[in-house]
Amino acid sequence: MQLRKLIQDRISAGNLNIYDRQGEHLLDTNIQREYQCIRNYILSHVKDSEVIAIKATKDYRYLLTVLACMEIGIPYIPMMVDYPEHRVEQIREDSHFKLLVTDDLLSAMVQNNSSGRELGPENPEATSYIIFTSGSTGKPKGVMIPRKALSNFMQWVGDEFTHVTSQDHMLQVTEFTFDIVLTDVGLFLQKNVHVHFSNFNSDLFRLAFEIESNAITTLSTVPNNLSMLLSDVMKDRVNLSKLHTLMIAGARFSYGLYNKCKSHLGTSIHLYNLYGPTESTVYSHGKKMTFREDEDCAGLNVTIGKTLPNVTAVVVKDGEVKKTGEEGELLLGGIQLLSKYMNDPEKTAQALIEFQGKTFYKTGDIAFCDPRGDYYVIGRLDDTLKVRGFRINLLDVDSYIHKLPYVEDCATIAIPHEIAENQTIAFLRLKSPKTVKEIKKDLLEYLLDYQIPEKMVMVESYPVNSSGKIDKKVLKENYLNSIKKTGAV
Amino acid sequence: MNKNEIMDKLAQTIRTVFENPSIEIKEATSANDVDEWDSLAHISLIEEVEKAFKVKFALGELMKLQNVGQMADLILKKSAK
Repeated sequence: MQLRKLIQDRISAGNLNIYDRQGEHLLDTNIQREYQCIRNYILSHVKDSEVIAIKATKDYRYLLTVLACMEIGIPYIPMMVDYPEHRVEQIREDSHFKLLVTDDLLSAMVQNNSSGRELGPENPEATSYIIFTSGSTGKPKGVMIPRKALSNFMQWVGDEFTHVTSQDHMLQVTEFTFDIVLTDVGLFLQKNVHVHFSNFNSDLFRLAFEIESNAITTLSTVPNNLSMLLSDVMKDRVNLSKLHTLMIAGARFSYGLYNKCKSHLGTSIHLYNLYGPTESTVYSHGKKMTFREDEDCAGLNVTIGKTLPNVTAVVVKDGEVKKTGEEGELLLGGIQLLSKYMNDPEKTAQALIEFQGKTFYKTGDIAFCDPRGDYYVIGRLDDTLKVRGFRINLLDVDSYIHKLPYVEDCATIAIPHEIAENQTIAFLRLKSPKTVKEIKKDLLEYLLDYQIPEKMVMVESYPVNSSGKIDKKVLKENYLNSIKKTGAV
Repeated sequence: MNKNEIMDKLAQTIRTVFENPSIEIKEATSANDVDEWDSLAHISLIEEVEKAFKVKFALGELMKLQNVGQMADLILKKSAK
């Protein structure tokens, strides 16, 4: 697939049907003009070998900037508008981005009248985008995704969602830092869907309102948002009957949620369980639910389905490929793999390994494959987990909490949560008294909202293991026992 | 019920839902002021407030609420009908 041609054709064809965050239907001529301005501004300020970062409000201009980068062939780094300065600086040091596209700069860019420069050749090996994800050391890792990987993914979006058409309305809920947004971009480019930019942050009532009032038919979201939309308090308040395509990704799709979907949404809905680490370009696996339990589930596990075209997967333990039904680590190969972590050969070598003569990415996820070739992810090998669909690493969180001058010691654990999948709890030993609110405010300088532990408990001491380190396992057991006794959650 | 009575009952409901008897509730209090008041807790709170006051909020009304005082005004308006 020629990404450049796809974008050029879509923008010039018109009938763009983009609605901004205020709900205004934007004129094609305005979008086309702004697109050319943004594109030409980038062309005249950035060379093909350089990188840009985008730190702007999730709205149509963010989308236009992403599309312009994809058309030109300049790698972009997506950031959320409220990224803390500390994180922006870390990324700046790592990537040396040439341009930081902010809302203010975008306002100036769309007034740009320069004609830019000639486009360079389209190179499938060149980097398309770089997403920074949590590491375990307090330093985010830049996952570099080549254009050929993105093209393969876009081809799949075009081929898979044959029932989605220009009559459909899609709500853009996800931030551009979260790669599942690229499914929405693919549907805009190839299915000509109407795109509505959501104001949803964390208020689920707002999300429900936007789905209903915009007659949304197509939605990508994380399991906990769907779970809340189907909760008792929501279900007789929001009309989801127009929704016909739901793409669920970013965290484990539980058996309970599968059954809730079946009973609340009916079995005619196109419901997808999609899986994939950032390192294999959005999704490596996908399964459209048939709502036949023997096809969708194995026991209490819901399948992530088969690999996307040109993606390979093996389940490996102790250096050997496991047989059907046997558990092991999921390794991913094929065209959608990252090229490397930015400026980090050590982490790249740890994550990308040679196995049976081919390159594979070690996902760290424990999985098995059933006799039909459908995969199931059932756990993690390390301290990484998903909170509200975002990947976080508990050691990473601890390393930032330790930066606070009044923290003597800290240990963060995660406990299962019915809706949010995981709830994080930090146990802190302080040098001087602070309120939870003060601590959370200070952490916002270093951490993103979802990385900050939801609960904080002040302690005098910790359980320790035989080597004298904090025993998180015992800490978690003690905490779970204490909430069982009090009934608190 | 007048607004003061509604505020008192709202404060009680909030303290019960968040399991924290010491939360100070004023008209200007919002989710930003209370540690326990996150997006999940907000849903539980609305559910409990609706039960306590025997009212039902529409999605459009819920989205506009900025603080406890506005919630009390909305309850007052709905109870008067």
